Parts: sequence; structure tokens; C-alpha cells
Amino acid sequence: MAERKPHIAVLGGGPGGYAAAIRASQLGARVTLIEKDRLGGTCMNRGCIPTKALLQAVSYLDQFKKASAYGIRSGKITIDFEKMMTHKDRIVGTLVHGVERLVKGNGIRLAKGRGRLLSDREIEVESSGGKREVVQGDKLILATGSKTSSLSIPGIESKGVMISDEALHIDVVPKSLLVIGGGYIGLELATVYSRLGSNVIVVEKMPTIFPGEDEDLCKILTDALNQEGIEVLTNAEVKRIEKDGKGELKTTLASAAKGESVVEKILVATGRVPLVEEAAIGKCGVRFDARGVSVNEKMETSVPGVYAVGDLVGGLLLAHVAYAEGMAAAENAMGGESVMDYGVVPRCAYTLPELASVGLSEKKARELNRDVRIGVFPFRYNGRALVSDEQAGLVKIVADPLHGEILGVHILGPHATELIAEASAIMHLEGTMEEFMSLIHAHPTLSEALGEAASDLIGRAIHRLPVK
Amino acid sequence: MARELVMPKLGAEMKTGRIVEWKRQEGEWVEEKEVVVVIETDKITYEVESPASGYLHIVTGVEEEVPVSATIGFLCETKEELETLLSKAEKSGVEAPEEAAKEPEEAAREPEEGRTPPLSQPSRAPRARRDIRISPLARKLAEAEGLDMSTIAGSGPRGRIKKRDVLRSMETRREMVSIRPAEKTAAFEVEPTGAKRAKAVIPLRGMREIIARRLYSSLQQMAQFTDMGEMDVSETVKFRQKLLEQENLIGARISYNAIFVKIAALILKEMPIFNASVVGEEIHQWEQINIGMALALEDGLIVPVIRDAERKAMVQIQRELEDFIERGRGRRLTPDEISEGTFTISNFGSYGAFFGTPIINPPEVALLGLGVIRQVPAVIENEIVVRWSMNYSLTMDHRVIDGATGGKFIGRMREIVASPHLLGVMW
Repeated sequence: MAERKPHIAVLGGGPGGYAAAIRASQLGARVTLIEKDRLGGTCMNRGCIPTKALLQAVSYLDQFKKASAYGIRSGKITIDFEKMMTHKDRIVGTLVHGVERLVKGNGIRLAKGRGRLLSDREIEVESSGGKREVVQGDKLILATGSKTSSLSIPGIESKGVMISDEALHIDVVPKSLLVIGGGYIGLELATVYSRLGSNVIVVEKMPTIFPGEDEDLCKILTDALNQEGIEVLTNAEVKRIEKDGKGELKTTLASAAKGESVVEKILVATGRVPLVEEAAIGKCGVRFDARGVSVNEKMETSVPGVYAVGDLVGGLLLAHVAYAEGMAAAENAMGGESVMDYGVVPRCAYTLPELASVGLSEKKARELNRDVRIGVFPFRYNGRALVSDEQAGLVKIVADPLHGEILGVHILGPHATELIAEASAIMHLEGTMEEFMSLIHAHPTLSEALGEAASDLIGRAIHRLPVK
Repeated sequence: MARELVMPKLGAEMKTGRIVEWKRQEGEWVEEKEVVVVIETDKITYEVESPASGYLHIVTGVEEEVPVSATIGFLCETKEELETLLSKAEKSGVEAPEEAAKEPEEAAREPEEGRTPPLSQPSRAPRARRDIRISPLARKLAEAEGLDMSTIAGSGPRGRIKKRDVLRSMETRREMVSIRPAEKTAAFEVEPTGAKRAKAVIPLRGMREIIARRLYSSLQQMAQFTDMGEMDVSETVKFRQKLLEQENLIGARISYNAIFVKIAALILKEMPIFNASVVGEEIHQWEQINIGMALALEDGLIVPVIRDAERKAMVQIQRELEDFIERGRGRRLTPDEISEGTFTISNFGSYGAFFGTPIINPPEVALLGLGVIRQVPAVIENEIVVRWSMNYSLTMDHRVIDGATGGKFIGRMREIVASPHLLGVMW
């Protein structure tokens, strides 16, 4: 009797979902992927990609300015917002179409509609036309993602208060913008709006922007943001929002620096919550709490045969984590023994300058009672950075001198989000200080700053004098 | 001028050593070549001779473990020099003889310099013997802990050893060493009647600890089984008798140990699966045939290795064995002499045992145990005759060797043992 292929049903077509679907298909499964909207999820449609496209657009404004240093002059710079939005949407559209082709090319059946769990093996899919079907899977992989968390601030429903999804569509630049939340989403969008001409003020509850990232780098980035005109208030909270006579938004702040701020628009960027209720995930007995669905290191939920990945399980809400989890879940659903290892996960902020890190911050390393040695190399001593006039920032490496273990690498500066890959590779391979500092980096490149920072761990950097 | 006393490098693979005992006190006069300190590494304890005469200043204390070439003491020419050294040590907390040329800013910048590798040489990770797949970090950790990397199972791609595998290995070691030294207040603890009381509490240290760890992990890692039986060694006994008669010509009294080393070496050449190790997910059959001979010591056991046994004449093997026994009992074997073995023989017949269930010496895959050689009644052509018989216990790693293959080994051994005079003639 011919063995029939196992049927894997995947709920959600974002990064976690489509990666899981493709991996399961590669392993020989029959796969049904359920998605109510467009494939690519939040990342492609409302997150990573569109924000990066807007950041790319405003970085060109920067480039025009820097070009004049080389004697290349341009005339008056004008911005056609309609064109910008169209182009951004086209990029998103191309990528979404790409995922559609991948899904089709892997023989995955796409069930369009809203999915809701009926049991631990059945998902009911309701299409926009009202048609219903029940998808039965031998195993289920849940990847419903997350949504912007709502704040219970009086006046939060006022007109002019937007979430990130809406903020990505710009036809007119507001004269002023208040961003609630000094994390990735908040600061990236603050950068976009500020460069487009808005007076931006960022209100962050914690003592620092990007809480959890390296303190030194956050301080330097805060200064850089302040310098370009973005006012950053930390240890501050928005207490109330009111519409004033002129139709503007008056926000009352709890902050040592300011009591209130009047702005045209407000952006809420305080975080995201997993979409558990909407898909009736609790229906089959899957355990979850406010942070998300509980899973073990194999991505299996409390119900055997039901897996969950991505933003739905909380943790680091990053697309690349969702990809890795999706693949691990697919492998395990197909009988494998893949275990998720979160040891080396890079985190990137596409501010200008960019911030990227992997591993432990100096503070966290010390809190864990690790012996700590620091190596630093500022980009202003790097030739390539000087050539492109992107000298703000530095590379900081945190290592344990006992065996030379690299505990964390933090980069603030040009192309930090690309450069971090080298650090990830070294940590993934368990390379130590010795390997890092003896690695030959091409010259002239920004990557040399990593090698120099590694040498600085023992005071042996060539292109900077040891700090006494 | 004060002479430095350093941790000697006793073997190519030695990375650290531990101080077991200072034979002289702080401030005492030591003559050149006198034994001044006893150090320990792996299973070896070694008596270090003083490189010069002088007043001893001790830097590294007992039980402390330091890397090879680290300074463990000084020999001062004069008492004044000793005093200067002592006062300097008190002030800075760092032992620094006068001629140490450390730049002040370097010293301030690198207080932990003691542990960082010397970067005057290009820092390239030393290639492991037998090309063990291991990450740089895991290697450093394993070396610092004195772990034998070839006994660690790797969980990385293709069996690569990662930090977590080394940590797991360390955990296993820690779990075993759970006997604590006797607490001084124990005598007054109230115990319910009927409970067992320890008569003596012996900490697992040094050689005992190493034996405990290695043999425990040996049984954990392998699927060991033992083939036992007996074989007629009458011809071999005759053969040896003849060799003893020609002792003067040969230059040594050939022992059964030497004969069986030679026999084993020949069989290992013909059946290389017995001369192998499991490395990650591969079986490595070794080129060299290095046979270890288990040697009982007063409080433990040591296995010196006869390297390239198949190439050596029995008289050479005999001489090496005699040298090993003498120096082994005097605790003067070097780490190189007890490493790189590919097969082990344990002659427990030497203390009268018949059979045994020997435990394989990792990372080998087999161990040949030999019982006492004795006269027994045997039936040959329906008649009862007196023959010499020897019991054998061949333990094998079933992951690599099956019963039938073990049978082949024994079969071959029977053949050779029945015609030992053909050693070197036909085979």
C-alpha cells in the first residue's frame, strides 16, 4: 500500500508561516497554507519592507547633501509623495508576488480566508465571499502573528493618532509628530518623518531608547537623533491626549523635561501583541498567556501535533526568528528533531546611523557574572567611513577573557545591519578573541572596524591609540 | 640574579599542571638538581628537579593548576634577593622579579594578562591529534579542564564538539566526584541508630579521579560486551621456556606479556577494526599499532603504551615493559608514554585471576584480558592429558565490533598461540 503524504496545515502566511510551509513541502509533505490577507504577513506588507523602503528614500536626501562635499551639486530637492508611495507599494507587491510564486512552485495549496481552529487537527477557513471549508491536517503549524498593542490612554482614539500601519502611508508630512515608544518601530518612523521635515518628539517610558541594547551605543544614538532634530524624552509617559481648538493634539506628559506637547499627529509604537483570540487558538487546548502561545524548544505547543511559531509565541518579534522557528517546526512536524537555538540572533534598527547587535550587552554580561573585556573601535578612524562621510558610531565587542569567548558585538554606524553578520558568524562557529583578531579584513572596508575592535580587546588595535 | 622555576612541559599535548607537594619550604636553600616540587598532570606525578641552587620562593601553592611554562617559584642567589622578592610581592600583589620588563601602561591595561595566550607567536589554534572536530571555544574550555577531547561526543554539524558538549562532559565529571572530604564537625552530628556511618572518607583526587572519570565515561559511551573462553597455550609455554634458556643470547627474559603484545600486534594488523576509535560519527582505524599494557600500582592503575608494537622485536618490547614497570611504580612516567594507545592488554592472570570483565580504555574499542596460565586436564584423541591453558576475556565495543568478528580475533589468537615459533616466519 502506497504511503500517503502527511498533510501539514499552516495557519498564517507571514514569514513564520510561509517558511514553515515551504520547508514542510521540501520534506515531502502535502501542505495547505491558510492566509486571510496577502502573503508575506506584517513584515512584508506593513513592517520591515515598507519601512526600509521609506528609510531608503530619506537616506537619499542625506546623500544629496553629502555629495556637495565632493563638488557635486544638485538643484532644489523636491519630493513627490505619490511617487514615493507607489514605488514603495511596488516593491512590496513584487516581494509578495515572489512569495506567491514560491508557494505555488512548492506545490502548496493556498486557502484564502480567515482561519479559525475547530480542534487540534481542524481549521475552518472562511473566505471573503462567505464560503467555508474545513482543512484537516495531520499536524498543524500556527503562525498568526501579532498586532499593534493598544494603549489605555484617555484620548487614544482621537483622530490623528495612528499606528505604524497607517504611518507608512504618507501623502502630506505633518508639521509635527509625537511618537510613543522609543524602540525599533518608533525610532525608524521618527527618522523617516523627521527627515521629511516633521518636528518629531519621541516619548519613551524606560530610561533609555532601545532598552535591552548596549547603553553606550544607545547614548550616542540618542545624541545623533537629537542633533538631527528629533527630540528624545526618556523616563517619560503620555498621560492624556486631547484635541485642542486648532484641531491639534495636546498631549499631557509625565516627564521631568516637559509637561506637555502639542502636535499634529501621534504615532503609537509601543509594541505588539500575539494574535491568539482571533483564530480561536484556545479552542484546541493550546496553552498561552499574555506573551503568546507556550511552546517547547521544538516549537510544539502543549497539544501534541500542534506547533506555533513567530510573533504568536512571543519572545523576539523578529522576522528572521520567525523564519528559523517556522523551519524548525516544519522539520519536527515531519518527524525531525530540530531544536531552536536563540543564542545568536542579530537585532537591527535601521535608524541613521544604523544600530545592530548580537549577543549580550556589556551590562547583561556583567549581570550574569561573566568576566568582561571590552574592545571598541570608532568609525571615525576607519578610512572607508571617511570616504563616504559616515563617521558617526563605533563597533563594541564584549568578550570573556578566560577562554576568549565572544559574548556580544554591538555596532552603531554605516551598514551596521550588514556588518553584524560577520559577528554572528564568528559567534555561531564559537570563534574566540584570537580568531576574531587574526581574521584578515579587506581594505578599505567598514568591516575592518570589527577586526580592529577585536584587537582592541587586548589593546592591540593598530589604527587607534590605546585609551589610558 | 633569581632563577625562575616554571611548570615543565612533560609531553607534547600537556597544557597545564598541578602542584602536588613542595619538597622544600619557603626560604629554604635548595641545591641544583635536588627534587624541589612534585607536579601532577593527567595520571602522571612528576618530581621536578631544581634548575639551580638558591633560596626557594614559592609562587604557586599546592593544588593550584597553572599553564605550562608559568612561573611557579624562584631560586634566589642571596637572602637579600629573597627579601626583595617577598617585599615586592607584598606591595604589588604581583610576583615580579627585577628584570621583568613590563611596560607600565601595558600592565595597567591588562591585569588579567596571566591567562591570555602569548601573542608574540601567531595565534593559530594547535591542530589536534587525530583531527578532532571541535570549535575554538570548546577546545579552549576542554583544555583548561584537562578533558580528553576524543571522549567528548559532539552535537554540532558532523559531530563537531561545541561548548555545550564540553559543559555536559564537565557535568558528568562533577556528578561522579560527589564524595566530599570529611567535615571536621561530623563527629558530633546526631544520627539515627541503624544508619551507616563512613569509616573513612577519601576524596576522589588525582589518579583515582581520573580513573573514575575515564572508566565511568567509557561504560557510558560504548556498548561493551566481553567474549570469554580458554585456549590451549601449551606450545606457547614451550616456546617461552626455550626463550628463557637463551636469555643471555637474547639479552632479556622474555615475559608472557611481551609475547602477547607481539601476538596482539600481529592480529591488529590483520584486523584493523580492533585498532580503531569512534570519532563523532566515524570510525577511525589507526595506522599506528600502539599497545598499552595495564600496570597495577599501589593505589591505582596506569597504562604505558608500546608504540608501533608490530615493528618491534620481542626483546625490545620486553625491555620497554621492564622500564615502564620500574618507572611506573616510581611515578616517573611521562604523559607521552601513557597516551596515543590504540589497544590495551590487561594481564590479570599475574595476580591469579581466571576471567574478568575488563573495561575498555577510551577512545579504544577493545581490550584483551589475559587470565592465569595453568595446567589443566584436557581430552585429546579420547585420552586425558595435561595441557597448559589460559583464559581470555576480550571486551569489545559493540558499536564497532560484533560477536562474530570477536570470534575471528580469538580464532586467530588460538592459531598463533598453537604455533608461536611461526611468528616472524609465516606472519
